[in-house]
Amino acid sequence: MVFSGIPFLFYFLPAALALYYLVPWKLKNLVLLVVSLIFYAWGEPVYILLMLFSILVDYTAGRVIHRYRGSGISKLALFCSIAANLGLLGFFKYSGFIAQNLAAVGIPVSFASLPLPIGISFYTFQTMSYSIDVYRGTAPVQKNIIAFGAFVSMFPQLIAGPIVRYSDIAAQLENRRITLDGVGEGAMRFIRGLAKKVLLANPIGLCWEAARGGADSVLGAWLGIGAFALQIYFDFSGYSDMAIGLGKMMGFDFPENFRAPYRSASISEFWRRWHITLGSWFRDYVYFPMGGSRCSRGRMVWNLAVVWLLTGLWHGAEWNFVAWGAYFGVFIAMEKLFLSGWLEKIPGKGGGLVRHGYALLVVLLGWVLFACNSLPSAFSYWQSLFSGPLWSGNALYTLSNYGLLFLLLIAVQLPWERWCSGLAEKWMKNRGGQAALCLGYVLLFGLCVAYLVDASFNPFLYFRF
Amino acid sequence: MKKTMAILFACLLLGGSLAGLLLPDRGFSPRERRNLAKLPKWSLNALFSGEFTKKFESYAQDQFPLRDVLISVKGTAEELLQKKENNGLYFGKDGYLLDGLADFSREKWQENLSYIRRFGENFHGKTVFLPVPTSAGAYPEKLPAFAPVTQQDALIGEAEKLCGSRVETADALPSLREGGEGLYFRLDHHMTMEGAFVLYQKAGEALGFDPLPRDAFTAKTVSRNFYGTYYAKAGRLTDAPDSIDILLPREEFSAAMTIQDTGETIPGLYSQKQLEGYDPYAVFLDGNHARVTIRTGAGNGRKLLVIKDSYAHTLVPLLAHHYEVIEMIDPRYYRQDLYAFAEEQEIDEALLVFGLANLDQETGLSTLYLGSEK
Repeated sequence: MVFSGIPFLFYFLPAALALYYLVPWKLKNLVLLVVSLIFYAWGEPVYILLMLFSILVDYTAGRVIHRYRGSGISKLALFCSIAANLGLLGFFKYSGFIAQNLAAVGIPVSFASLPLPIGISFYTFQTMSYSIDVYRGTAPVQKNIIAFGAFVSMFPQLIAGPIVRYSDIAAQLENRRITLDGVGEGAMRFIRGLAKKVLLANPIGLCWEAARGGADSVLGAWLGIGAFALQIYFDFSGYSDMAIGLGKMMGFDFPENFRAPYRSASISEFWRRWHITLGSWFRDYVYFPMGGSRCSRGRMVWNLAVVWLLTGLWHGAEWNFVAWGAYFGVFIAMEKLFLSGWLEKIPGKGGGLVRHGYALLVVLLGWVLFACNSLPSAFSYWQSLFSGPLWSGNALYTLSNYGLLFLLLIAVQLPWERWCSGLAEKWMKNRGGQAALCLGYVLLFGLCVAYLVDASFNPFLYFRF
Repeated sequence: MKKTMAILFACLLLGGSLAGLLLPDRGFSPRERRNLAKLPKWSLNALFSGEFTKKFESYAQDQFPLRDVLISVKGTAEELLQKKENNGLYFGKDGYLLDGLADFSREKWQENLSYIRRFGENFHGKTVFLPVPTSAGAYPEKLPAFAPVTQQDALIGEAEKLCGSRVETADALPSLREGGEGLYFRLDHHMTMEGAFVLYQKAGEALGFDPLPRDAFTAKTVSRNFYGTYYAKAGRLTDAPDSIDILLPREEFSAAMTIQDTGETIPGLYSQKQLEGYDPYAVFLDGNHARVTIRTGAGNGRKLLVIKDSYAHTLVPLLAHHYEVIEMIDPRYYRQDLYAFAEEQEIDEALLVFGLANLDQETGLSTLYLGSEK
């Protein structure tokens, strides 16, 4: 089930929340587990077994690691947990890719082509982090399988993140508070996320859909990839907002996943602002254990290469995703070695402009790799960004049709919180201001519903990861 | 404020779901002219295959309370956002919604033309093909700047070539472009009867009769509350309904139509009872039927076979002045041997009237094959 749909908003959510609020504390984790399983089974009735398997393996691994701490058995249990999760991920996500590439070099292998279980990349990473953290002693062991199951399957963040680590919410699983204030805050966050997805991401997505087959002018190509950049940001961060909001409504604090990524002044900064929970996962569980950047330059470059190839591959089992990861790896390595030093030397406002322009350009060109389904089509799209007629009737139409939407999407990313922080506080104190804000949220929600009822275009972008 | 928001959000969710549960499901949507999705049948099989959930989603979407209003709210929001189109229709000037046929399927179109060509080759008499442009074709100046469209004059030119020498293709587009305002409904895909008058003159040239002058008719408004199919798809809260005018001859003229599907005979060429229904356009010739026979007091012995879709409905009442009998066939519903039928009825003139917007889709023309071809 997706959040941005009538069945979720008006059937599942009211029923799930009502049940969750009504039962006594002792049963809340159980209710959470059950409704989450229903949520998952709605779209993936068969693959629910995979998730149950993953829950069982990691729960057992955690207990064994804890029980036999310091011995070889503990290590073995950790190994089993990681192997099981990577095995699941490898089998369901990468077997087709591996077989295809083996076939390309002349080793034919037969494999069953299975649809990718929704959210598998998210929940396997979450459960792995649990086993590793218990092994490292940075997270407590969970002896209650219902609480553990609720953590893994928790529906708000199940299918599109953020990647919540066990250590993030371990305490909350045992003991959390649900307040009317928290519910209200969560509701506002949820409505903002829903609006991002339904009112901003979906409409601008149509602009990319029109361009993806190949734009007939330079202007059209830039509008297309600009539209994609905006679509994926508002879509993904909208999902994260909805997840965080739903979490708050149920008494959980999930980690933030996006912090205005397109305001970055370097690629390293972009990845500290974009899909934060994924970046920090790779940092803590791959990059740092390998030695991070506190080692020889050669070793650091190797570490970066591994992390970024894996990051790319996590996003999808295709070469263009691998290339996309490698592309960022190259820029981050260059920044660490010399590029940041150079860029920092440019003084004044012009320097800031150059740094932001550089980061934005690299990210935009990177999205071409991500969005085009194959490397050749990505190359030909790059070509169309820099060659051919400057504009065309189609491009001018696109500009006039989507111009205001583009401006709106860009405008909401500007640092308003810095510019009008005083103003917002003033409003929140004033009763009229509060009423206006409430009304605004209600209307925003109503508008989202209008778009959903009319919707013929409501894509789910995360089926590849 | 957070507390207020918590309560408001609860009200929104519960309000939506309770209204959905308590209000009775609607069967047919007059606005969208289609049956809305029903609650799908529950079975384990359907659940596991994912079919149940997919159907449930359409059900929840179709049966949502205030669906019609919400669709207009979305259309209005799109217009405020300065979008130039909504659900495939352009927001045109003067309150028109326009179909530019931007995604016109050439393949299906050429297939349909090949059926028309074969009909011409097999029909023993004269065949005229009259394609009806959309309002976007007749009023290009009402389109948004740079809007991508399929050029309808080029399509008609293609039809002239591909329909073969046995079929005469009548091109009404130049006359429509000079015909002034009011030839099309603003919110429906059809022409008004005023627009059909232009087609009527073209048909006269092609079929060889002298059309009556415009001032032989007076316009009478029969409905002021017509929300057409374009409105259904992309309408806005601000859209005012169209009026439907019929052109009545000033001089006495008798005609009656027999709906062969039911055997019912209606005096005149207009069905007053349809004005009360969801689709007042069906006032013309009582809407869509497989076969309708029109008998008139023209007294000249001429007979005409009209193979058509609903675009012909405003035209045929005008043609009736020149034919004693008109047999009107809708190939989407009529499944018999047309060649034999025409010979039996001693008809040796055929007019094919189809909207260009329909000709890249399944028109039923393929069933003309079923005839006994020579």
